[in-house]
Amino acid sequence: MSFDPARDQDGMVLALNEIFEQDFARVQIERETAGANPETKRRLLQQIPKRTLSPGYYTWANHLLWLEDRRKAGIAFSPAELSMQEAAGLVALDRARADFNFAHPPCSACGARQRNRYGQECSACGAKFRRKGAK
Amino acid sequence: MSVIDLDKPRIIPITDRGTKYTLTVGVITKAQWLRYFDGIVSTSENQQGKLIEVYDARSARLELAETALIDATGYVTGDNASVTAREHWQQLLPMSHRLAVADALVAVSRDADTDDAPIQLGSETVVLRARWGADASGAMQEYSGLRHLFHTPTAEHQRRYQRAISRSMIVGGSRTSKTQWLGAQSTLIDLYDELIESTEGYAVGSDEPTDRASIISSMDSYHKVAAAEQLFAPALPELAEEK
Repeated sequence: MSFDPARDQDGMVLALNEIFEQDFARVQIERETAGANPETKRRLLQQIPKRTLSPGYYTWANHLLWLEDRRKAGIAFSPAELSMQEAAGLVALDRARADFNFAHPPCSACGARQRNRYGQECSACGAKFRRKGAK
Repeated sequence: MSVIDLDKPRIIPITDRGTKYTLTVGVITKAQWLRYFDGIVSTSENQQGKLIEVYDARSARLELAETALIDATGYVTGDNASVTAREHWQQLLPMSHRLAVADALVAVSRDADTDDAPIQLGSETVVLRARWGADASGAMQEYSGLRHLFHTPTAEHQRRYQRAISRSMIVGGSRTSKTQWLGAQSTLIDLYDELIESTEGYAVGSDEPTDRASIISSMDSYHKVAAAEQLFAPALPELAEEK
């Protein structure tokens, strides 16, 4: 039994989430280990969560990210040129990005993404966060 | 300068333990090449966080050689009949000879472009080198400077290429099963046919093909794939030697 990963929209959201989380973890480690010895950095990089799906998911996910980059740069592909799987994949990409943005909101002062939405201050610039409704 | 004659069978000479054998390969059709590309096994799998990759083109290449061979000489048959009179004679040839033929069919690579003329805007040149067959003297020839002049690809062409190289099937019932890569060769052949403008180093009959239609119909599909692929590969930067 075989199937096309590009047709598995929920699987694609999972793959995209894993890519975003890995990139996020890598950026955090780079920031936190600036000036640290290479061994510490290597050890932390090994702790980045491993990919759990078949490699075909990530390759198609990267194709969707490639398409999104061009779309953002103003290169328009007409719906007639996009395949059904590409169109569905771009919807999955929007979903995955919304999930990621919700889980890791950006600091309003410096823009750095946070580990979660419950922190008291920015992990990058130290700006204090104020909860909605707090005095 | 010698050119590759696209519509003539290729002669592949093999010398084995002092005896010379001659194997003749017919013109390989697009359908035969597509069957070869489909037969390539290329898979990837995550096993406990490690990426395990498998690539096997040898079996498909051997099958291609067996279907493309049209004659063989130098071999002895029990009843003194010709080699080709035997049923499935291609499969009776020594494996090493069939593999040598198979390897010659796919011996195509990027060649250095020695033309100093500036690039013409709106066009792109890809230069290949390839082994093809023996010349009149019977020696195997390698041809260099095989030029393919293309119309510059658009963003849409690039998207089709990106999509083709990203396609796969998951073999097995779960999201963690093995990925089988589908290959972009069929798309590359289509892109070649859409973008090719002219070629140098090839002939049909005794003439160089001058119009697009004859290039498209006569060019070897493996050369099409090798050339079209280079359109989307990064240019090689010239690096200064470190002092």
